[in-house]
Amino acid sequence: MPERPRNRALLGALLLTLSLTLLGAPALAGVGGDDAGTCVNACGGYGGGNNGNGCYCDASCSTYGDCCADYQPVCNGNTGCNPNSGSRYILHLGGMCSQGWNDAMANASGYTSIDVKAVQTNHSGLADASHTMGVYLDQCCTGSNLCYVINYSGGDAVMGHRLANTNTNYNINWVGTSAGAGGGSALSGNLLADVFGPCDYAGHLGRSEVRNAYNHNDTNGETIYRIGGYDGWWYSSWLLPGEDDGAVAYHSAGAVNYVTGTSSMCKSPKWSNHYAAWTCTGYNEDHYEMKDRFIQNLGW
Amino acid sequence: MAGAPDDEEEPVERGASRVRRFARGSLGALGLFSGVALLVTFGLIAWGLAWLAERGSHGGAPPPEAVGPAQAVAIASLADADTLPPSVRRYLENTVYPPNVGRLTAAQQDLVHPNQRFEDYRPIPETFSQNADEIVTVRLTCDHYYYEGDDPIEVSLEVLRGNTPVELLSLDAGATREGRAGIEGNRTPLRFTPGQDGWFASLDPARFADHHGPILVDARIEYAPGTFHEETLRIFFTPAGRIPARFTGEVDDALANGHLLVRIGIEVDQPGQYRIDANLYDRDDRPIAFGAYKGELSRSDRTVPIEFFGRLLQDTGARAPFRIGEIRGYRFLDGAYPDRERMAGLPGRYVTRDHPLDAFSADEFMDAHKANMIELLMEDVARGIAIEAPPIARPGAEPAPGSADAAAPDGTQPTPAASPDATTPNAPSTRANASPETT
Repeated sequence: MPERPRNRALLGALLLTLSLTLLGAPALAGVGGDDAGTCVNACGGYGGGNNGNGCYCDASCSTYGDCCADYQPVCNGNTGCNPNSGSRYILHLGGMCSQGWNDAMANASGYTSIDVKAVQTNHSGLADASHTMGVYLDQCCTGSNLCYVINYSGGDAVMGHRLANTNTNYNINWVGTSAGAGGGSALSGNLLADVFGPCDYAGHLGRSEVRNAYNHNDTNGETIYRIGGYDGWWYSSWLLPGEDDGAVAYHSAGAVNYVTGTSSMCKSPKWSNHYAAWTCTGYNEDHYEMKDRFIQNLGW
Repeated sequence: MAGAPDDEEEPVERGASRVRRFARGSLGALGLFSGVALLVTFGLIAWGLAWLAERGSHGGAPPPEAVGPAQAVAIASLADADTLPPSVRRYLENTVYPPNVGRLTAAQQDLVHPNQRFEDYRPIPETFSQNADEIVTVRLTCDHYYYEGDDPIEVSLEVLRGNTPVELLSLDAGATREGRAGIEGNRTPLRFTPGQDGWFASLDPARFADHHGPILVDARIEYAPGTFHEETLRIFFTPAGRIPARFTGEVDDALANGHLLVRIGIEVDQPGQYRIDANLYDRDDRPIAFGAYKGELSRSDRTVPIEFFGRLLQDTGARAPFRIGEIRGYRFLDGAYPDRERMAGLPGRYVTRDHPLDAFSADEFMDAHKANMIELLMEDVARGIAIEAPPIARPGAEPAPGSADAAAPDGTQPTPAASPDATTPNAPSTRANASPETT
């Protein structure tokens, strides 16, 4: 187990701050991040994955302040939810290269918002984050609890992967997805990493990989409402078919069950139980701006 | 939009506790509302059961013509639609069939032809030009995403300038194993040979017999003097030694409680959580339904049950004997990486017995979980905290975002197109000249 690199961590933080400053505000919108460590399969020791932030999953990490982002849910089963307590939760699941939602959350009467600390940065990002999401769903969304899930970008794939592979019937009324990457992106690889990362997981959001990663038609009975943006960036129109938000095209955001160029979020055929919400046209917003669009539309 | 927990929110007690609380009257209006919610819920369930019994008494007669799920939902909810809270109504509309089962159409290529790839021709950014004939595009792909055992892995590479093949000046390709932390081991050179429409290579799975998980294929091409570009391609390989179970090839079917129960023969080497998928076609090979089994399998299990829901078969007017195809599966390794061990799919289609359509139940799906969900939603209504679902977008009828829309959702699944429309890969688009499609 590596020794805790206190000075290096401080230096890293300074460099990160400087980098984010140089990169500008868009990189702060909740998707940027490096190959952060995860506690999935690593409880009791040094964080797993590439662990670029040198985090730990042992009992003393809280004392040292160097726990991996998913330490509490994965190693301690602490999601912030009170199981089977008649509670109401809105779970926020962030996107690729993130370690949590880390942004504005819903404020709905009677409901408590939960920032899902699922690490989506490593090569194993989808499998790791799906496992972590399962911990949240088991605690927050069973028994007498009732849930809604809001996800964004890569969180779409994480939620889809979890629902397709679980046989637990969760008490989720519906799932809201902004700029979902469940259909993959032709930018996956260096381009996506350049834009959002760098993180290893960005290279695993290719269309073939994501579309084969789980059965998108099996939502375990849950209904998925989806919105997408069309304010793409200069390069994305060349690389992504149809309308896009700079990172994902409408075939992904709109849950079309094959890859196509389309300017309508209502394009069909869709994966079963997936619907475009509010508008077929989409929103004149880019991938970063789309993150909070769903909760803004709901007045949360 | 803060998400602070509402510490003053009292957890809702349920069942006997709640009745006691209501009897004490200690919570006044809240108790009253909860009691009303409970009564409404029970009434709703009773109504549902009575309605289902009435439907059942008709002997499950086939509808006059095949109707889609959405129409069936509308009929099922018609009697009570005006009295149900929107949140409950929408939930009922979306849960006519059980989880893990759904309509299958020819347009659902991801299910009819699973394990396909989706690579397009990707333009090399350095060649971007207003003149499309100057843009160099590359397509590196193979025939599947998942490979098991000794499946041959055939890789192809195409490089075009405009529509004209580019004569490569050099090509360096290889394949590398990937694990949780990325690249593992040495790169295995991959030799491409020119063919009619590009370059082709065969990756020998025996060279990866000790590797389970992703394999990254890379190709570095020199498409102009001194100008290089690299493409990568990822596949997922399950070596013979990690295949967790085998389909025996034996498939049986029976009518069970108004549903079609298909039992697929299996030999399990590695017990655990499995996901097994299959498609159902009618006697004319028309796609009808997809179904799945998700659950534990042990070495003593000899069959995997997949239930095709009777109401779904009724709604589609499906005619037996049915064909069961695309049988495939994997052992799910929750939290591990890679997260699955794939089985080799069962080729061909199994033909079922000849079941009359009216032998299938027309009942809506209902189980304890669904009843619990209805109760929870009704509790939210009673507490005044119900959350409405967003309006379903429809071409030509777009409510303003944030509106409370309540345009009666009909629960329509997005209409499956008869066939996918022509793709327009990599076509630059602008909002100005785009128009919503009406599929």
